[in-house]
Amino acid sequence: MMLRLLWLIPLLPFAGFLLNGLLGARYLTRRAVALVACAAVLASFAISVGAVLELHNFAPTPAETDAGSPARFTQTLFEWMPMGTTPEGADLTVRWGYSLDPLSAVMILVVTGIGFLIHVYSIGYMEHEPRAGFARFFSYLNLFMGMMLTLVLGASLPVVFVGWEGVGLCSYLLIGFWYDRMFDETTKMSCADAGRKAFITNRIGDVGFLLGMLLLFTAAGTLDIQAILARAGALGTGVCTAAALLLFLGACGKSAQIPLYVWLPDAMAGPTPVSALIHAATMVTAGVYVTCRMAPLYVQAPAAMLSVTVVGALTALFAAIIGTAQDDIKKVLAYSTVSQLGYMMLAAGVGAFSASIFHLMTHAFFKALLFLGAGSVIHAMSGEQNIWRMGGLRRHLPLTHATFAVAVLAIAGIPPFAGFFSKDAILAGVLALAGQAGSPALLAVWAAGVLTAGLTAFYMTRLYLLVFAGVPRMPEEARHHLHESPPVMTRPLIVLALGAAVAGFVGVPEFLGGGSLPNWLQVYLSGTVPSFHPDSGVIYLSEWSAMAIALLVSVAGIAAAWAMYGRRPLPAPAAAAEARGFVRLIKEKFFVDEAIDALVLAPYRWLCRASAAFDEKVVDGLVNAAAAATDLASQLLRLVQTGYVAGYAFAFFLGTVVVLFFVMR
Amino acid sequence: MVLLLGLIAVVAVFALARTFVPARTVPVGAALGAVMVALVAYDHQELASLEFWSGLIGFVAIMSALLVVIHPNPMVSVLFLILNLFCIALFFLILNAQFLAVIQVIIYAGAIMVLFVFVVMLLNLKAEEGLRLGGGPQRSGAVVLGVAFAALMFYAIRNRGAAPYFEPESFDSGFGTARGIGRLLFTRYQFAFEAASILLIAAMIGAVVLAKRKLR
Amino acid sequence: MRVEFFLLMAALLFTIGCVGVLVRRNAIVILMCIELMLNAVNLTFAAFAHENQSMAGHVFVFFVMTVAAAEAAVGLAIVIALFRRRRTTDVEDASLMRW
Repeated sequence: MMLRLLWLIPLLPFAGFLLNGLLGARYLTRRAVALVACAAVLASFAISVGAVLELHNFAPTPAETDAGSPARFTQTLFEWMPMGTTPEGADLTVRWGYSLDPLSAVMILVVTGIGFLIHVYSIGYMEHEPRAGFARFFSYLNLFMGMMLTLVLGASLPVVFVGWEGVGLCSYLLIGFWYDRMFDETTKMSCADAGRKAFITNRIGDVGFLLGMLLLFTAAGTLDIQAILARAGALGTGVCTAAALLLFLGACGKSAQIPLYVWLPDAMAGPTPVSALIHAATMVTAGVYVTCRMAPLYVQAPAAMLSVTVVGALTALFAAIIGTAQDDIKKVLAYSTVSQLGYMMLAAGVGAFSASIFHLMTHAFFKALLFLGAGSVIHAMSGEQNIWRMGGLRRHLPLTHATFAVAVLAIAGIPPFAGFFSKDAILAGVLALAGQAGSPALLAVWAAGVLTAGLTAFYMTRLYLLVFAGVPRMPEEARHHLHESPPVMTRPLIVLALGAAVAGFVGVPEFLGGGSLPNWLQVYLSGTVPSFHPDSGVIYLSEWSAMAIALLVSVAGIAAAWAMYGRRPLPAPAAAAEARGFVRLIKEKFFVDEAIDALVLAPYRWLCRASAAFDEKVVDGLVNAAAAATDLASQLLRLVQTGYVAGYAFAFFLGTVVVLFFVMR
Repeated sequence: MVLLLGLIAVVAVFALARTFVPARTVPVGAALGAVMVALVAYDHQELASLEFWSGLIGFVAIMSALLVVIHPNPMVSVLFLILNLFCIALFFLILNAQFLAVIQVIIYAGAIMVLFVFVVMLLNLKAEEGLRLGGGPQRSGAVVLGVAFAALMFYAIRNRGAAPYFEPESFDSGFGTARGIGRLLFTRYQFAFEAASILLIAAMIGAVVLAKRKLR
Repeated sequence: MRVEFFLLMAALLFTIGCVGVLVRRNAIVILMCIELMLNAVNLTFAAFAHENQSMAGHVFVFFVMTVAAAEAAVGLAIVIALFRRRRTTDVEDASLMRW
């Protein structure tokens, strides 16, 4: 029964968006706005749970079940673009349909579940916002939920693309939510600028997505995802590689991979719940989701897989390095997000798609928790985001501190928290592929992954120590204002902390769980994404020793951070800002933004100026010349217009006589 | 033919005499009257011919039309226009259009021209000053154009090919009667007839609105 | 009687009317000249109706008279309005059509 209501899952938040967007600012109280928004998402979540439970027993036809295809429920709502059939009989019509299978099931549960918690949290976080802004915020959030669910449920690429563009739009709207505020004083970047930056950077990726979609349409003759994937083997390696790379370009934009990651750190201009929901837990994982969704296509294109692996590994390592030297609490988390997204891409690249989705899920829990915790801290600090002006918050914010600590342990990969299992699954996947391919080069990727894990542990511990441990470094006045957040904010933190603590147990690797604790997630997803069975080839490291090494590196990262930041009282903020050499390079984010500015934007601006000059001088010149010629002719003709009727009659009669003369000749 | 041309010549001489020797009008008029009587006596047969009367009416029509244009006093112009309209009504009669001749007198001379007379008297217009034929480039140009136009018309009528010669007596008795016109008006041209009625209403309302003292 | 006579007569009257429109400055006289031209046309219609033995020409004369009546009424009303405002019927004083 719930499966039949699948169409309601994206529609309910959309209805909430319309209600709040149209009526919220003027006719609804804050309580009503919050109720509408949260209820819409909660209802979506309930239907999702029901539908996913029902999917377990759903078998479309006996024949499909026999063929070993996974449970998949597809609901076609209407014909969106009726394009008829080709002469060969292939159906070109694009239908608006949703499809639920284990992969999208995981996604909708994560999106609606965490989305609901963040909606609730936002009620508290946005309480100081005026009512119109409050309604606007929640209507945007609901729109985002609707678009994100369209994205993950879409049964054909155009539907996915609608969701894809929709979440991009919401991201833009929410980053620039405080469009009248300044985001970065040093670079004179306003929040609206940050939103534009995100939107335009995403646009570059979206072109890739669109081209890939069109290429697949040309090659496969359909836009239905399952039909494309079924034909992926017959398309040929060249087409598959090109399409996969183009789609990956889109994924790079959305999931903030090198070289298109630059927008994500600036996306922190939005309110913190937005950073948690859109720029950590859900939207940025859309690229990973689409890559996993199109996995059978990627499997046909080894070169594309290699690109995904390399880009993912580089992004993970690069962002983690930058993250070690950031002073803004949200910037640290932003680079951490980029790094973790690189991790997921890396997993997809080596073919460990279920590990990728696993990490996506656990990451959604602990990164949402980290951001919400950071939001709670910022709320308590009255907007202060520099970690060098914090410290010792453990006493003032006990609940926030406890949940934040769980999240730090989870992301650092300490067992038995969620991050440990998912990170281990990815590293095991890399190692297994290296063994299968017999390629020591992939060991470098593994090493990069382990190093990233260590760096992640380092910067997260650093963040934790600077914010919660040690002595307070904030001004005396701010210290008196410190307060724990209201329950409406802390309760979502507790729920997320529980998730971050135990979510890993859905994917315990076989060698750990033995027979008693199966790897549920992998089994669940096995029919949807290509399974990965590295049972042959060289064994470089045993699973136990690989895990031990990774864990050891993480612990080493924590220890190093404690040694640098936790052992002794830290200096005042002014002294801490000093940085030279490599540290400065990291602090300035390797000058990537500046390099892009010089290499891409500066020529582009020059081109724009040249075009503008051409437009002003040549194009406008021609137009003005035409106008001037008309004006001159009019001025001459004006002399004839005396205004005397007799003159006009005379001209008329003259014309008559002349015409008559020529007619009768 | 002699009678017609003679009469025209007599009128022309009288006009010249009145223009140049206004003091001797009465004796010249008496002499010319005697010439007219002589002419009639010489060629009285022509009095019974259609050509003579047509020519005479045409002469009067042209003269009155010229006077409408030339005379400085609008009131005189109106009166000569009425004369002209009567001439044309006579032409209609010659052309077997009895009904047209009647409504020409009733509507044109009786209604429209009364309107003109009223307006001229209402506005109390004086004789137009500075009326000069051939004065200014546009006026002389207009006369030249008029001559050219008339020449073109003559040329066209001359070259319109052989036209049959009609005996008015040979016409069927229904031609030109009110019954004939009425039958056409209310059958074939009924739509145009109704449209004309709307046009008249529109013109009436327009005239009332325009002539109201305050346009408001 | 030849039809050409009436056609020539009509052409002459029409020409006189035309020249009158161009030459005169008094708006009422100009309207009268227009009546003259319309009558010339009426004469032509009647002449051709005679030649073709068709009464359609007569019907057209009828309609031309209707139009002439309407035109005279509106035209004279305009002249009255003009006179009221400017104390003149001289068309050369009314050059408002110039921009």
